[in-house]
Amino acid sequence: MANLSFYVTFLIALVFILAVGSNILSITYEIYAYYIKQRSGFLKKAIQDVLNDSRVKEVNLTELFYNHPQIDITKKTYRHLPAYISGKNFAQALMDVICRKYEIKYTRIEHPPDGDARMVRPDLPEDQLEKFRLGLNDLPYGDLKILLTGFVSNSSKELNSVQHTIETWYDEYMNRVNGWYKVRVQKRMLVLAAIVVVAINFDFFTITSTLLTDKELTSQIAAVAEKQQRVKLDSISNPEQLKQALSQRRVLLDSLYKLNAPIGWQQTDLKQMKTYDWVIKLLGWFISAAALSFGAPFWFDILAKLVNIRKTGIPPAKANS
Amino acid sequence: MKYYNSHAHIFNMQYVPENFLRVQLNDRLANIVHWLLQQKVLSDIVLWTAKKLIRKGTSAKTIAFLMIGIKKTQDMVFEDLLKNYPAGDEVKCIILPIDFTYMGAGNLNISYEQQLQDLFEVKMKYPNQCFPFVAIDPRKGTATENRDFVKHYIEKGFSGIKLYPALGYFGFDERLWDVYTYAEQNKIPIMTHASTGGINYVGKIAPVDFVYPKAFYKIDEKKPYEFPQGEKKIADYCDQFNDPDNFREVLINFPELKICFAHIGLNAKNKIGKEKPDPNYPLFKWYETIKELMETYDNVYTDISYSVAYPGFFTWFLQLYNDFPPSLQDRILFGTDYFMTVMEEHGNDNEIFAESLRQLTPELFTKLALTNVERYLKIELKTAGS
Repeated sequence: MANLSFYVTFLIALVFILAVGSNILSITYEIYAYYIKQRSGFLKKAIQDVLNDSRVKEVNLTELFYNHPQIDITKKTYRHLPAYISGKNFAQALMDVICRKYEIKYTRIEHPPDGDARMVRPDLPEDQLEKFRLGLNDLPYGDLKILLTGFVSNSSKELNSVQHTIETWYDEYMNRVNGWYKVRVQKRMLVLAAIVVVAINFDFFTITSTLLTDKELTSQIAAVAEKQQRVKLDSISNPEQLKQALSQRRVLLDSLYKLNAPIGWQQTDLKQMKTYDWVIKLLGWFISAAALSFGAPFWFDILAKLVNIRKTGIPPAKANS
Repeated sequence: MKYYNSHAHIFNMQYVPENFLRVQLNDRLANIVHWLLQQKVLSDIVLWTAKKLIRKGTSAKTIAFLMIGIKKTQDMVFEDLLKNYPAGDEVKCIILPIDFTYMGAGNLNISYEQQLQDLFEVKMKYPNQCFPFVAIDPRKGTATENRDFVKHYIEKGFSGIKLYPALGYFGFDERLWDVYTYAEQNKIPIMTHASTGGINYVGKIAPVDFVYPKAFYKIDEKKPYEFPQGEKKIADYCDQFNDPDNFREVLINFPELKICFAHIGLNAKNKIGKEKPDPNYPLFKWYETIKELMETYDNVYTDISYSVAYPGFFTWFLQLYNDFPPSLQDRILFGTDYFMTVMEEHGNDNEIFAESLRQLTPELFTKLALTNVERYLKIELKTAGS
């Protein structure tokens, strides 16, 4: 029984280290994503796929869309693209871009010999939907035209109805885009995990063997793990959040070092390592990277279950048992 | 005070071909900075660091150039241009777009047509301050198609036609015939680049048109133009496109054409006040040609843009200006060539403007920056049938 209790303690300590490691990885990834503007870049690419037809070179609707005041105003600065655009904003801005494009095409400016310039606007119907139809007809033939023409045909003869159809379609499209984004994040997380585990020498075999042999350390880590709240991680969208994320990562790393958790390079003597040791280390890093890439929520959930098992079923093992 | 800047650019990097800066910028450091900016990796940090660390020399100037070029929209660049002039002044600017489609530097991110549409939106926002021209490249279409293209934009409210031969064509290209006919009939002003250096064709292979251009006259009777085949430095031969001499044939056929040869024919090699001018370069040759064309044809203009940023320019200019007959004095325009000039030591528009006011009498400044420009810009559109 005492042995079983120790193994649960060992698992709690191990899972806790993996959870904290995953958290460090997630925060590092969010910092990286913030700097390379990954979310906003991915969103723009997804919108570009819809609005720009590679065969139609005359018009770049994506740029027109992003420069539309309704979208432009959501940018922090002109160089920061929004990381999120709601379905309503998308539909309204897109419809207006198409109407405006048509209107500008037929607008001219006259310069009377003496006096200010005078804008001569085309005679356009009052009805917004009619205006949108004209703009749509004027678009070069391509996927977007087919898509939007379909929406207009399938909606009732009201502007709101067309707008709602575009909104619904955009929301569904964004669900798919989110899925693609997650797959991309997972792939990149694995690469980043490989870098992080090497940087902080997060070797799965060293961790498990130390925890199995140093029972006092294992109990200490498990005791901390039971009190540890899950660290909430939001995506970083401004420098304030970035600052918070950086300090959060520092705290987590410190907590592992303070506990004397078997990570880091201090206790590793590289000169003494032989080929066999390196192979084991590489394997250890590989397992760690794979484990960390599961993400912090996964490991914190397991940790909560293990803590529950111990609290309800098995009495805690004594440090010297 | 009311005046015009008769020569300014507000296009930004989104309108240029993908390899534009790689081939145009000689400065390695600025090139690296731009490459990093394009990758969007740590772009804010890169920009901030570059600005802080590089404060002097060519690199700093190139960074300043890039900082304007990476502005998101043309209206932002236009607003930056206006900030150079005293608040309360009634400043008007001739804005010159460039069609980069055929310069051999890769694909455009945004088409030239959209550059014009975006420019028209700037015009809508600043109808009394922004006077856009429409650039035409003869390779765009046939003579008729090119004429119709230009006509569409002129009727829309554009104020003139821009030519930039260094991108790979001669002013006497036969596909410009109808454009010149239309421009002459309607007194539409044309602005053509007339100095060496600057932006030019960068393709690695010279098209046959370069050597034997499609010309108004029998080109075979003349010596073929020199453009090496399969060599990397075709760009070095592109100055030939800009030579004002190429417009003699144009003016013989269209003597009433209202055309302005920009930069008064000066160039980096004969910078006024430069300590060591290039001994191999025929100093002021293009200026002499422009002056001769102005003397021969009543509607030939020149502007002092870019050259105005050279140190000592006014000493040289005022000497010759005073010797000009009044008919020539009436056809010289003030302009700055914003934002190309930020690469010069005192090339910011506010510096150029302040120096111009210091060097020119108020009457002369008003003549160059207002009276002459208004005359140049005056279009007399003939309606169909008239």
